[in-house]
Parts: sequence; structure tokens; C-alpha cells
Amino acid sequence: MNPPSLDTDTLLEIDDLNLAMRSFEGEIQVLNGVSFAVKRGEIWGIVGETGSGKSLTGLTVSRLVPTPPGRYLRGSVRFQGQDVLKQSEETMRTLRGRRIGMIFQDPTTNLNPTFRIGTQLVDVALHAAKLDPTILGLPAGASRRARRAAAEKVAIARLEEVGIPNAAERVNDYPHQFSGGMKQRVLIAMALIGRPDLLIADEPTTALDVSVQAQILRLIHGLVEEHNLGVLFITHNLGVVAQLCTHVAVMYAGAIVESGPVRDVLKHPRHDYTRGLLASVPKPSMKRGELRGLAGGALAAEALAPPPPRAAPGGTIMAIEHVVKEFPGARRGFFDRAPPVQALRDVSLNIRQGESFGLVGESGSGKTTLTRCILQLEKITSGRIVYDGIDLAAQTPQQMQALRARIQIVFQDPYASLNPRMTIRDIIAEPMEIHHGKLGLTPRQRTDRAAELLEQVGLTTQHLNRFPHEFSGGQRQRIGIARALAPKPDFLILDEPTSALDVSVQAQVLNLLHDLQSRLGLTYFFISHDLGVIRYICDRVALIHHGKLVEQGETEDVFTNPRSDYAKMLLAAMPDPDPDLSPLRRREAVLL
Amino acid sequence: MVGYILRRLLLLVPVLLGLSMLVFAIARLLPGDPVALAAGPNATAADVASVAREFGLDQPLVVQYWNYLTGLFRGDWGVSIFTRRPVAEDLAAYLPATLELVLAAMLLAIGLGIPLGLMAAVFRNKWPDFLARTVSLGAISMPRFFLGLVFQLLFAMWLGWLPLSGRFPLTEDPPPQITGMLTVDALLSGQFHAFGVALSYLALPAIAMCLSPLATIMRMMRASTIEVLQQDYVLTERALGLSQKLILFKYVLKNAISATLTVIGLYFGWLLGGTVLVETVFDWPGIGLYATQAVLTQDFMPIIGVTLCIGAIFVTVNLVVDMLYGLLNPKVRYQ
Amino acid sequence: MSSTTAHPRLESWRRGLYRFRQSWVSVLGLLIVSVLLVLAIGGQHLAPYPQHIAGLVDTSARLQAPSTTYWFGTNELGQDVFSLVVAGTRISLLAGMAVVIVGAAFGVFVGAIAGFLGGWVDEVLMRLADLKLTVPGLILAMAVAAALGPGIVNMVFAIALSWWPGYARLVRGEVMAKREETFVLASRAMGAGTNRLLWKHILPNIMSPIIVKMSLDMGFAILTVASLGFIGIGVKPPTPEWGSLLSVARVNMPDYWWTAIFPGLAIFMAVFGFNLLGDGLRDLLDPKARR
Repeated sequence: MNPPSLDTDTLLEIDDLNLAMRSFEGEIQVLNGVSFAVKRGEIWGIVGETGSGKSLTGLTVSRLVPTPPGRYLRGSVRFQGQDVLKQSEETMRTLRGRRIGMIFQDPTTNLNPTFRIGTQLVDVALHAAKLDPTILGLPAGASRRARRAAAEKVAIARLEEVGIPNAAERVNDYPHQFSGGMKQRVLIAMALIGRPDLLIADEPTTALDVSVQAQILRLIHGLVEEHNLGVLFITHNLGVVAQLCTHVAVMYAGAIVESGPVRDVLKHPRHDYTRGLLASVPKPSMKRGELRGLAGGALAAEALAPPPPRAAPGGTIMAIEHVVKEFPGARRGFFDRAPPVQALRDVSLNIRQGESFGLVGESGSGKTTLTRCILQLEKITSGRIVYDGIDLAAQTPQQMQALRARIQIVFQDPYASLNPRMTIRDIIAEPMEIHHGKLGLTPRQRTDRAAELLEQVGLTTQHLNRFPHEFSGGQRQRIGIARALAPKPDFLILDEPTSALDVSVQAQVLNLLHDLQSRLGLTYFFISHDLGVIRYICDRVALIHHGKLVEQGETEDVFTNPRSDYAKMLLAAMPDPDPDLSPLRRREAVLL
Repeated sequence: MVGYILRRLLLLVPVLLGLSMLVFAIARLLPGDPVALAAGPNATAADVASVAREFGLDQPLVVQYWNYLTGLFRGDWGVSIFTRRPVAEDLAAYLPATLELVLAAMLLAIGLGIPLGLMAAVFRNKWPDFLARTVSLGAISMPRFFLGLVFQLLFAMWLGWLPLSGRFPLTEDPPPQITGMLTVDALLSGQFHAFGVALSYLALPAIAMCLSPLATIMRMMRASTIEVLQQDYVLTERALGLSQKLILFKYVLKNAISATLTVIGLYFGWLLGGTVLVETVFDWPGIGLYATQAVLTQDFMPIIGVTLCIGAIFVTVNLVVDMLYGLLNPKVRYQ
Repeated sequence: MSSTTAHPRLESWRRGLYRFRQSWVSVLGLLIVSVLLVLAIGGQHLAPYPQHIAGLVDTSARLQAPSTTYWFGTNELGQDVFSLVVAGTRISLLAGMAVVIVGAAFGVFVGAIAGFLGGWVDEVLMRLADLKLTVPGLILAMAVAAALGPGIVNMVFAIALSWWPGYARLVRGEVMAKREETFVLASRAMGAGTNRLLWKHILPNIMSPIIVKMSLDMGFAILTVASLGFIGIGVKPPTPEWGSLLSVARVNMPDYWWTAIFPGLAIFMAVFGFNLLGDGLRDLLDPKARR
């Protein structure tokens, strides 16, 4: 796309890169003519959905794609003029860690668990110093011990720079003693310790909470400005791109469909796929049902028959009253125990018949515990959970059994929530078998109903005798929804039903949920950490933080006029796909 | 860490107590009449009764167990019905020989198994790996007693390189008794000739015994190394330019060994039990041979003694292994 | 990621079969095991001297070296070693299979209960299994077999007694892991009872490691049976059993080596065959544990 230039500022030039991967099915081309160039001071966002080839593009720059099974067909990857595809492994090692730093997605698995973080940082520093002794600030002939001591000093300095408090002591800690966000900071320090020119970050904030993500993005932003780095930022999140990147390349099926400065691409997308991708992200201005998914790389057609308008919410159907849930503390010695952990502290909320009630919280906030308590999979310590006037905890097992048909759940992970050894028919029919008493269907009728449900969620009867592994994530989530609908429930708990899905698939599932609610008059209890999704689908919302409800109210009120500090912080941290609305840039705007 | 060790040591008490109860129950509740056997084929009912009285076998089982248990603490492990010798003395005489054999086999297995496993993982799916995997599976499948016989046939009978069986020749002066393990004693007292002799007797049984654990440790090490090599942090280490050597021998090795450690602990017990076969083949005067004699004559006091002894060693070794595991895994250590 | 071609289930089977055939050692294992099975079933008819199996003594042909008449030579009673080895297949295979099936059945039962119920049931059962693991299996089997007296059934019982804890621990761990899987949680949320959870959701999903362990254990069970025979407990002559054949032949060494070597090789081949097969099966059924 960009003609080869002799610009000295150009760090990385990828030109017509083609990569194939061998597998059981034969060789598949996974990168199709990828071209772009990164200069110093530029942050390039590589954005795309699962399988688009964005991570492979990043790995190729350090030549970390194993060959075989990988095979480079055509093209070049020039780093400061030299083609990395033609270098020896030894030369590549002089680039890695020294000229090119890398960070990956999951901070918990990317640090070696059995070594102190100091040891890991020192080794990278020593490696980089072999090529550039000035990193340690020592003359070339310094003794081993002097080099080690200097490397440790540099490590501590780097840790301080990325915001690890008490760095001089914490170098002696092991990875598990750090939180997720702190681990990612350590990894960033490790990637930057060799003073690289180019930083490759592969989904570095995907495994983190929104508030932590905001901190890490701010950190990377600051480091880039300070050290004049070039950055390749690989992500699936358009909001993050809008917030951080100066340029963006949109990838689909191994090719870049559109690239350029971030405002141009995101504000005025030219390619259908980019437009579709942008249209699948829920935005504050959207009304329910306006979201449009993608089909085959292009914008999907609008739904043919819009669902009937929803009925107005009725009276309270689920009342959660002063619920406290304590878990016993960890065992210490024979008889001693740590004090109990309070997962839910005095949680109270009312959900009205026919509405969508959202619950927002970060990891460890207690939102999953609350769903388990509602389903009576966990006993609450005190308080009451009243469903349709019935106190759930006071029910006998038989009475509860009958109630279970009315309250169903859809889980987050569509890959784990379906039994891999059962056919789709058996999976959907299972609740009908369990609640035979209520529904009274013969096996034949169950099959018919399973087929009917499949069609309702957008699949076909042909799928009945297949097994879960034959379906994509989005299809599996549809199957999970069909199963939840099978016993004719009126209350549906949706536990992060779209978090594991690509954004275009998320749009389809959200539309399906909207459609089903209108047609069947269901009540939704929708749990998510994604504020955009909550705002799009929920009538009312509650925010939970450390087991405590910090705010609840009408969704629009909470979003436009948050009262609690936590809500304000969360909303400020939420990246928006509109570059002009993203927090980092807003801050820039304020500073200007 | 100290608290953890203390707790584990305390937990040993109920385990050993349970073990003694279990073994005692199995030995005494099963059919078979050791008293009649000991009294001889021509014994009258009165003879049998007197033998029973002599060994306290006419008392209720609970009383018998209580007497046995209290005896254990006084160092009285009961008396063999057959030889009328105290079991504790026999064990003290035979145990060092078995320990010597097992330790030698284990040293060989660990010393060779871990580097070979590491190598097979590095050469994964290339010919050294295929060779190592197939040969190791063969080694696991080889009966130790048969391997012992083949060794005897080859190296002792046909080639005459090494002694056929036994532990030390009667014609030579044994080293002074320190630990009871002849090779160690010889080294400690500086008698290098005696060490050579003892080693030549130890070589065949130790090798016959070590092959199976060697192969298992190798396979385990290979598997865990491959698993570690696929971890995200190895990719990060590579992406930051650390050399292959540093990654493998520093960062990967420590993680891979900790998984292999647990197998080593289990194998130690397995070897102790399996020494029976090798000791039979090589006439090695250890507790295995002793136990075989006892089993064949249904002499239950030695059986209980041997089992308890092996059980105690097994739990202790596993305790040590767990502690080593804790040393290698900071997460366990800090709990 | 997942293909939606015509017969994806068949496809995955074919893929597994392809992998199995890829490793020639697994095929070798299957071959050895097939030969063993044929010998075990039709041994009496395939052996050249069936009368020797029945105990006939031929003093005129004592301790003859291997030849075209006597492939593996003859023993001190003038019996054809080849016929005896062939006849031994049935006993070894039968005893091995019985040990594995009895041990696995009991172990799976105990492990499933302990893993699913948890709490004190789990504590008690697992401490018992741990206790069993601290007693060396061979010595326990020796003691029990000696006390019960000779005979194949007693021996199987004695070995199986020390065999179940391995399965109990494996199954318990798997059940505990599967119990926390989302699809099990989903079924619980629907109101499924213990029976349904265990039989429909958990056990079908942990069959692969159990089958793999059983096939690997077949080899070791055969080995243990032979070990007991070698020590002189278990099956007694004249019933031809590999371990006892070897034990009796020890005194013939080194001049009449064939009387010992061939029964020993038979044990090795049988154990090796099952181990190769088990290793191949693990690749096939348990892709996670591919090593």
C-alpha cells in the first residue's frame, strides 16, 4: 500500500506478506498480501476478529511463527531496512528484546511462575546489554558481577517507570504476588528494558478489567511519547484503537481491507467490512434493535420482520433483599481459619416483570456469586431472594425443582457450557426431560420442540443430530439460549452471554435476545462488564463493586448522570470507538 | 514453611497408625493358619496351643494389636514364628542392603532419566525422540526378574565380567560397618579395593532395577518439558531475545522438573516393593528376600514388619519430595 | 475452527485413525496384541504338542536345543517349550484382564463417589486409597495370595486389591474437575439430580483417560501375574504360566538357556504390546495428553 521509502524514521515496512500454515486439512494461506509501514512515534492499531491473522502479523515481525507448520510464500518484513525473513536466527536474537520489544495478552501466563520477577528482568537486560553496553551504563569490559548489579538497578528503575510502587523490594517477589494489572506492568518493563525502537503489543489489555485497561493504555501512551517508539498494537477492540492509536489497519481473512490515520478510518470508513465492524459496536445513540451484525465480511441485511413492541414492565418479579454471602476463610494450620470472605454485602435490588435489568461489575465483584445464589447453587448467608412472591431459600428441594423451570441461565463461555458428548437434540431436550412433570412431553414431542427452538434462535433442524464441536462460538451461544428457553421460563439470567464472542457475532446475539424478549415477554437479568452492551440492552442497571451495590437506577440516568465515584470512574475508563469521545483523547483535549 | 513441615510430620502419625492397623488386619484376618504351620506337620492340638500361647496368638485380636503397637515403640517388632529371631534385628540387618540397591537404582534413574527426557523433548518428533520413546517403552515392559536373568547369563556366565550373585565375597574383608551400605562404608573408610568389589556386586542388580524407573522418569520429563515449552512465558522469553540455552536450562528446566518430582516419589515406593524380584534373582540379602521367605512360610510378624518399614520409608520420601516441590514452586511455599 | 462438512463425527474418527496409523509403533502394538488374543483363544489347537500342555512327560527328549522339531527347545521334562509358552498366553491374558477389570470397576466406583460427594466421604475414601498406595502392591499381593493359597482366582483377587487406588485417584480427580465444568453447572441449574449429572454428564466425559489407563495397565497386570508366578506364589506348575516356567528354568542356566529365555521373552512381548497399544490409544483418545 505504502510505496517503499527511504525515510529514516520508518521502523518497520511490511510489504506484500504472504504466509501459509500447514495442518491436517492441507496448507491454508493465513496472510494474504499484508502491507503497511510504521514510523517512530506512530501507534498502529491492527484490528480484526478471531482468525483474521492479526496476531500472526505481529509474530512475523520478530519471526516467531514456527516454520514448519508456517511457510512464507512472498513478501518482505523490513525492520530498519533489513528483511527479517532473510536473517539468521542469531541475527534475529540481536533484534528481539533489544530493538523489538513484545507484550502478549494474558499477563498471568506470560511471566515464568517459578522465578522472581527481578531474575527475569535482569536476564533480559543482560541480553540487551551484550549488544549495547550503554543500557547498563557500564564500560564494555565490566566484570560479571558489576554487570549483574547494574542490570538489577536498571530493572528497578524500569519497574518504577511503569508504576510499580516499592520496586526495589518487589524485584524479589514472584509473579503470583502481583495483581493482573501489575503483572502486565512488569511485562511492559521487561519489553522496554532493552530500550527497543519498536514495541509489539498483542491484545495487552484484553484479559484486564476496564479500569485497569485504562491505566495500562495511559502507561503505554506515555512511554511512547517519552521514548519516541513505534508501536504495533494488536486488538479486537475498536474502542481501544480509537483511544490510543494514531493509525489503524483493519484485517479480515488474512488481508488488510483498509488502513490509514485513525480518524480517517474510524470516522469515514470506506470498506464495507470496516463499516460493518463499526456498526456492530453498541453506541449510546443506538436504540434497541438498531444494531447490525456482519455476514460474510459485509454488513448484514436488516431483520425482515421487526419484533412486536415490548410490553411495558410489570410489577416486581425478583426481589433480592439484603443478601449477604460469606465464604469460609482459607485454612491456616489445623484449627485456625482466616476470617470469612464477604462476596456479597447487603445486596438489594428489584427486577420488574418483562424488563432487562443490567448488573455491571469487574472481575471479583461478586456478580457471578449473585447468579449462583439466585439459582440456589449456593446458600446465602443472610437476606432473602424472593421470586414471584416465593422465598427461594425456604423451599423444599421438590418445590425448588419445579421453580427451576421458570428461572434459566445462559453462560458466558459457549465452548464450555455444552456437554461435548451429547447431540444438540439431547442438549436442548434435557431440561424438558428434567421438567417432565411440568411440560409432560413425549420423547417425540421433545424432538419437535427442540427443532422449533432451534429455528427460533436462527439455526435449522438439520443441526439436531450434530455435536457441539461442529459449531462456531456464536452458534453455540444460540444453542445455549435455545436450551434455556426449552422449559418455558419467564426469568432468564444472562451471565456475560456475549463476552467470549467477536463483536459482529455479539451484535447478532444481542439482536436475537432483543427479538426473543419482545416475542416471549421474558425478564432478563443481564450481567456484563461491558458498559456499551449494558447501555444498549438494559432498561435499568445496577453497579456492583467488591460485593456491594454502589449505584442503581434507570440506565440512561446512570450513564449520563452517574452519582457514585465508582460509576464515574468506570464511565471515564470506557473506551469509545469514536476517537473524539475516548478518554485519553478527551484528556488531551482538556490539556490543549 | 517450618509450620508446613511440622504439620506434615504430625500428619505422618495417623498415616503410620492406619498403615499398621491395615497390615495387621490383612495379615491376621485372612485364612491360613501360621500357628499350625510353625508347630510342624506332626504337631498335636496341644503343641499348636502351646505355640499359640508362646506368641500370644490365643488372645483377642485387639489385644494382640495393642501389644504389637506398644511393642513397636519399645523397639520390639515381634518375633518370627519360624526362625524365632526378633524381627527388629532382622530388619536392621537386611534393610541397609535393600536401601543400597534402591538408592543406587534411583540415582541412576534420575541422573540419566532427566537429561534424556529433556533431550527427547528438544528433539521432539525427530529420530532421537522416536528412538528414546520406543526404547523407553521397551524398558518399562521388561520384567525385572527376566532382565536380571539375562544379565546374569550374559555378563556373569558367558562373559564372566561381573559376579553372578550375592553381595560381597566371603573370601574378602568387608569394610567396617557404618551405614550398613557396603559401597558407602567402603568409601567412608577409604577402602577403595573393597569399594570396587562391592560395586561389582551391586552393578547388575542396580542396573536391572533402574531401567523401568529410568524410562518412566524420562517419559515424564519429556512430557512436562514439552508442556512447559508451549507455555506463554517461553514465547515471551524468546520474543525478548533470551538464548535457547538459557531458556531451556534455566527457565524451562526448573518448571519441568517439579512435575517429574512427584513421579520420583511414587517410584521410590514402587522400587522398594519391587526389590523382592531382583533380590530373588541375585540372592541379594535384603528385606525383599526376607519378605519372600516370610510369605512362603506364612510367617506374619516379618511380613507386617517389612510392610510397615517400607510404608514408613515411602511416606518419608514423599514428604521430602513434597518439600522439594515447595522449594521449586513459590506459590506452594507461600501458602 | 470447526468444520461443518457432511459427517464431521466420522471425520474426527478418521483423523484419529490417521494419527494412530501414522505412528507405526502403535500399529505394532495392535499387531502383537492381536497375535496374543489369537493364541489365547486357539492356543490348544495351535500348539504343536498339545499333549505336553496337558502334562505329558517325554524323558527321551529332555533339554534339547531349539530345532525345527522343537522351535524353542525342550525342558527338563522333555516338554516342548514353544507349546508351553503358547498355552501360557491364555492364563496371562485372562488373569491380566480380570485384574484390570475388577480393579478398574471398584476404583471407578470409589473415585466417582469420592469426587462427586466430596466432604468427609471423600476424605475417608481417599485416605484409605492413600494408605493402600503406601503398601507396595507386590508385597501386599504376595501376602494375600500366600494366605489365600494357590489358584488363579485368589491371585487375581490379591492383585486387584492393590490395583484399585490408582483408578480411584484418577477418577476422583477427573470427576472433581468435570463437576466444576460449566455444562455440568448448567445441568444443575436446570435441576438435574445426582444420577443424571454423574451418568450423563460426568462419566461419559472421563471415559477416555480410564480406557487409556486400562490398556496401559493390562501390560503391568500381566507383569505382576508373572512376577508372582516367578516368586512361586500364584499359579503353580504343571499349569503352564510364563512366570513359573521362568522360575523353574532358572536352574537350567546357563547351558539350557532356552528354557528360561523364551518364557521371559513372551512376558516382555505381551507387556510391550499392550504398552504400545495404550500409548497409541492415548494419542487417539486423549489429545490433550499427547506427548
